[in-house]
Amino acid sequence: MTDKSFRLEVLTPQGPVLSAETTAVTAPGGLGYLGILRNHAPMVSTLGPGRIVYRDPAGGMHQLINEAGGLLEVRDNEVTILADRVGSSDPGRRD
Amino acid sequence: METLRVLRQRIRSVRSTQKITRAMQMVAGAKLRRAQEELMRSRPYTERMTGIADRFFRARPEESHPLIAGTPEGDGQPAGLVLISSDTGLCGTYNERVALAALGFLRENPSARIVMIGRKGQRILARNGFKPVRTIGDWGGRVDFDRIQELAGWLETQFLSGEVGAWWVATTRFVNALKFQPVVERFLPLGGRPAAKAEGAGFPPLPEKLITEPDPQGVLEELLRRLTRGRFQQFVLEAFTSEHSARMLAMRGATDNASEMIETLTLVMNKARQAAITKELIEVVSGAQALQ
Repeated sequence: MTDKSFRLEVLTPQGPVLSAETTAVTAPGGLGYLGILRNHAPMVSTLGPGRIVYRDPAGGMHQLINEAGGLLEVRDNEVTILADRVGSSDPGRRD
Repeated sequence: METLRVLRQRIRSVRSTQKITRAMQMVAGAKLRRAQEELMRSRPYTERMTGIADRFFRARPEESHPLIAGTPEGDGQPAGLVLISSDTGLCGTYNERVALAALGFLRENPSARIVMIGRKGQRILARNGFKPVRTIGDWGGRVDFDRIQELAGWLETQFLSGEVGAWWVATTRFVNALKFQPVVERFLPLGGRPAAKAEGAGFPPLPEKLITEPDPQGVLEELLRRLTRGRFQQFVLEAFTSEHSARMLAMRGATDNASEMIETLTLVMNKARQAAITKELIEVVSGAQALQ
């Protein structure tokens, strides 16, 4: 764990999807994409469909697809995403 | 001998019944395990959501919503009851017990609108003169998340439009694989702000400000939509898990009873056979004696 990292958890009603250390998260917020780094202020936001991209402490980029609505909370260096359905996609791919 | 043959036949038939009940017990056991897993897997989501709701309401105590406090149109409207029972039988007293809880509620609220999940419960309610406004009879104890969401959404719409003053759910709480408890719980409105009871319960101090996007009302809508669906899903999951547990127990009981019956019948058969042998011996011996 580096001093820039924080926790990212993604859960759906069917079960937990992801629990990882990350240094940066981008998520499709209700008003547009949100970028979240360590020590972000407490926040609750709605999510729309779109890409959830996060960077692992080693610098690798990973991506999940939020297929429907969702909710995101930031608190104490922990980002929780509650989504209806999440699909995964090839981490390195950009299209 | 006639009785001997009849006894053998009975033992054979009990034995094949036992094979069937044992197979059903194992099927129910497998389904129980799967349902239990689903119940466990959904729990973290529900817990996180409750946590977020809790913090949101403490940071924004001024926000309210009809889903929490009830609708003005729904005031004085009849209540609604969702009864979750099973589609298939052979599960002991599972359906009777939850239907009994539901009937208790209906006696106090005779004008309640009834939504049925499961054919068995519907039959029991029909016997008591209650007709459901909506019946779902093809879930068969399988959890389909999309259909649960659809039904939860429908219940929410009925509530928000004031058709129904409050929704209650008669379901069965899953305690463990041997124990389950029928309950009638209020589903909507969600009731007093979920945070109110947590006040001063040793929770960490509130963040002085909470950013909400797009705005507090928007977040609240999304949060409540999720809370209601999550809660309803929990009701269904608990009931279905209990159903499989009840069926497994009933079938285990039947298998044990069959074993006992085979044992008794075998004893009776052995006695009959011995009696037949003894009788034949006496005939032979007395025949030989008569010749002397």
